[in-house]
Amino acid sequence: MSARSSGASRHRSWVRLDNAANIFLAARTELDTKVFRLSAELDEQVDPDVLQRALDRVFVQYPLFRAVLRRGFFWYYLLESDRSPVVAEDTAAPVSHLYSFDGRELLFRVLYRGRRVSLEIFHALTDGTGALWFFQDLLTEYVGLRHPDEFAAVAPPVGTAVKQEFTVDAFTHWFASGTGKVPFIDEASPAVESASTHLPDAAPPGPVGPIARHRHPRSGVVRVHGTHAPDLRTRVVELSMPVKPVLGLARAEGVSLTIYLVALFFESLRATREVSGRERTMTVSVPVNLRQFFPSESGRNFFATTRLEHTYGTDPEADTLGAVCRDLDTQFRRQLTHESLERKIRRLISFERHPVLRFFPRPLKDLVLGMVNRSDSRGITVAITNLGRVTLPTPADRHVGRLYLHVSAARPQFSAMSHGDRLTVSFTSPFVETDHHAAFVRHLTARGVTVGVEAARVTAQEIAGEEGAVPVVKRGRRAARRGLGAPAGPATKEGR
Amino acid sequence: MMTRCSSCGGEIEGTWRICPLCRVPLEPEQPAGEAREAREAREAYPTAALRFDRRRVWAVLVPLSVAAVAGSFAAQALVPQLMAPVRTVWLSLATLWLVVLAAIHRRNNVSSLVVWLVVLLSLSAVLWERSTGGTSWATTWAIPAICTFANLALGIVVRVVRLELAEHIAKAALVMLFGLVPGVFVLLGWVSVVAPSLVCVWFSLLLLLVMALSRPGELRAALHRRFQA
Repeated sequence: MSARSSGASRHRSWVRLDNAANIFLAARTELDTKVFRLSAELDEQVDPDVLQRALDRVFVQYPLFRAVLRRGFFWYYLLESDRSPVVAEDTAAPVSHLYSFDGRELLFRVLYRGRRVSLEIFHALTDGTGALWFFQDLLTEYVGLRHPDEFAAVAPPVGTAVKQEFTVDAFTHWFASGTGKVPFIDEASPAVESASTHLPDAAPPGPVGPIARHRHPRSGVVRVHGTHAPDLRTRVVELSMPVKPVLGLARAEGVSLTIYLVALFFESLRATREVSGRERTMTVSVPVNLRQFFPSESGRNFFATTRLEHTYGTDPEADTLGAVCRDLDTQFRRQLTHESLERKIRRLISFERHPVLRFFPRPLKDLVLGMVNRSDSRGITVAITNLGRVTLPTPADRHVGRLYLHVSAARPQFSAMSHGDRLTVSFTSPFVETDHHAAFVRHLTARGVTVGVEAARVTAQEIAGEEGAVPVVKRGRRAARRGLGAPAGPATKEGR
Repeated sequence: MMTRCSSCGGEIEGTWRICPLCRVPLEPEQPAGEAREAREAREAYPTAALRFDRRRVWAVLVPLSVAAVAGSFAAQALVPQLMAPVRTVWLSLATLWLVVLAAIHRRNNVSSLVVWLVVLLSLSAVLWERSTGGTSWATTWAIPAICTFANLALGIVVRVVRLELAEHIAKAALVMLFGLVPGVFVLLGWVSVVAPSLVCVWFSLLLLLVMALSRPGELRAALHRRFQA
């Protein structure tokens, strides 16, 4: 997987697509674009000219971002291009498609609207952490150019050194050789999920039991169904709130913020979508930033996903929010060990290097990976990402308010991150329904947390400005069997 | 500007008149009679028009296809020896669906796809005729039908799928020009029935005229870009 030159006259680096990224191409659908967006709210209207200058300066330091995606016979590869990015006004729906099969466009875009700057990235290029490095530098450079007086006393905002080399792949660096033979399906499934995450709390080194390898059940898992938007765009709902009170709620349950928010997500779904007799297990896919365990400067995808679950039973005591928090927390700690993650990655690597599979033609790999992904999806109720607390150099920090992360979704999902004293939880969903979002907000406001709500318009009525009723899936017998519950509306089990 | 939702208790940002989560009306805080543009400018997200509306697409395509298929069976029942035109109806519908579905699935260059589709389908029809021997099915029925329906599909794509015509105008014009080719077949006497070719030529001319009249500047600019020496 090293850089090669593609021609005698012109040396263009190319590199085979990294391990986790391969699945994004196969798992990409019309609904789930595999694009994610980082947004920042500034304290004044964005100046597009300054933003362009800032982008030009940062772009040269991130050779990885010059890549376009091409198709080889066996694998996709990233090819260095000479294209330059141009900032554009944000006019389309969030996390719209970026990569097209026959396109040779850059795999990211920088957008502005009002006071917001957004960076949208195709997930095959980099993960949340890699994108955040670029975005932090972009914001710092922008503020530096916009307010040069404030930076006079400190070092130049970003500098000129190359930061993310084109060809560095952390998977290869850390896991040079795969070991053991394992079934294909196990290898292909772990990397399906989205952006990486900083862990909110360090996982303790404490005693953990032996980790038994077991196949996650797919039956009995609650799956959320709903109505797609007319043009299949993603439903985006942003919640913003002060960090402290929410952190207080999590600490009161003795768990991290991530775990508390996941438990609350489960609870919100349960409050609005009845859990039927057969489907009682809720599962969540949580990506983990591997750089914390295997230090790497690589900006390319370097994460693994963990899966947590809770089975709701007949004992109400075991299904309270606190009990679910503790159940999830125990599982998360068990999975977050160096050894457990290493085993997971080695399996993934050995799939990529499988002596037979690696010579499958790419379209066939796409087909098989797509099938594996669909099968794997049946075992996942929701997904979450937490990018954690983000800071910027001091002069820039003052001018940046809330930060947001949105990830295109094949199922209901939220992405959390915080900056200063503001925590944002951005829900994305392939469905237009907003019932579980409302239940989530109700839970927090009922506990004294002030929650700001911002939503992008999705349905024809919303776009027309007459925010009429959203078409809601009827609760027929079939819907009830699938575990669908009450339509969006003020009346839910949780009450007001 | 924020309004508190009485149901979920969230502070709703932007210019929503009902809570986007609970659908309950919010207290109007925004100035009455505010222009739509001014309202939209205050939203964090653009009010992006729908790229397409799946229900509208199906509402156009499905009845059209069902009617055509039913009509083709009826025609065959009423008039014997109609195999060629009936076969053509099915080919036409396949063309229509291929183009519209390709547009929905966001191929960047839909019009290139249409050009290739027209060329390849027409060549296939000619080969098919050669291999089965003899009648002038390809020139009389197949090619005019393919061209007519490719044009019809482009029309549907632009109207219903809201494809930005500006990006595709040169290729779209090329597809329309293809529609004039059956006229040449008529002049050369390669057809046994002239009606399909005439329909195709008139339909293509009509579309070209509409395009030239409605977007003369864009068409000229696109052609200039494409054909600069």
